[in-house]
Amino acid sequence: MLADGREYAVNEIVVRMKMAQPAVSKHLSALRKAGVVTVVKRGQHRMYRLDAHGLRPVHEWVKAFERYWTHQVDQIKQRAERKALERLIRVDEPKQKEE
Amino acid sequence: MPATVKEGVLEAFEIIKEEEIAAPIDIVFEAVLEQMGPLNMAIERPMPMVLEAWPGGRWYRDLGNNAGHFWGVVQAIKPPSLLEISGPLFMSHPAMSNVQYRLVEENGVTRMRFVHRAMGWVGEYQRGVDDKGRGVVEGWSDLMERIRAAAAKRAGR
Repeated sequence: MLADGREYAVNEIVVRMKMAQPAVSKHLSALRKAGVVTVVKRGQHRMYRLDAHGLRPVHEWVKAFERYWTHQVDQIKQRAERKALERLIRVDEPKQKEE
Repeated sequence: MPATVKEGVLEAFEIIKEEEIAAPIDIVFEAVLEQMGPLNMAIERPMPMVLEAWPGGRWYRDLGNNAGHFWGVVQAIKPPSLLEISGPLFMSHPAMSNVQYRLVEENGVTRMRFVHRAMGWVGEYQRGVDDKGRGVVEGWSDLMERIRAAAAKRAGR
């Protein structure tokens, strides 16, 4: 919901998410502590907004590993399939010789 | 020496990949061990590792002359269906990872489920900000370069 970058009051989030107000407040509090959302007071409302910058460090951290493991898994697949093919060819060779 | 209490620096992530491989399970397991060991690559660059494939075995980069980088330890291994490693991997900051390769074969096709879960410190450097608040170079290439440089320095090259 916050991904659109707009500000939302707690009661708006409660209605949209169909969750109890204490649960929403608890989640928002945790997100604010983690630096993922910011909060400003406007009149009687506390307005919450997604702070994408707060997500960036985690994204950078994960990105390094994603690239590394994607490469590893691709290599494993390629190597295993090539080996399986080579084994099949080896198994086939004596049969062909017998024929 | 004053200690600094850091808040909000702990993060966690999970990477899951599933792959169907047209090969028997024993061949896939062999390929996993080879790829994690002597054929390990840092994207485009070979980075051979030593993987001692038994419980408690080390997974590390051997640079000779007692220099290298310890990445983890074999937490569980059940050939040819499971390899589980836990350790710091290439993170030179307080962080712990659990990496799993789980293999299941059905009709000659092996389904490989890879999981990497990590938790730990994402400090100023990992956040792309130095101690003066300036941006620094980020991403894999830089991280790998730091590992290479640190390792080469350790090896006295």
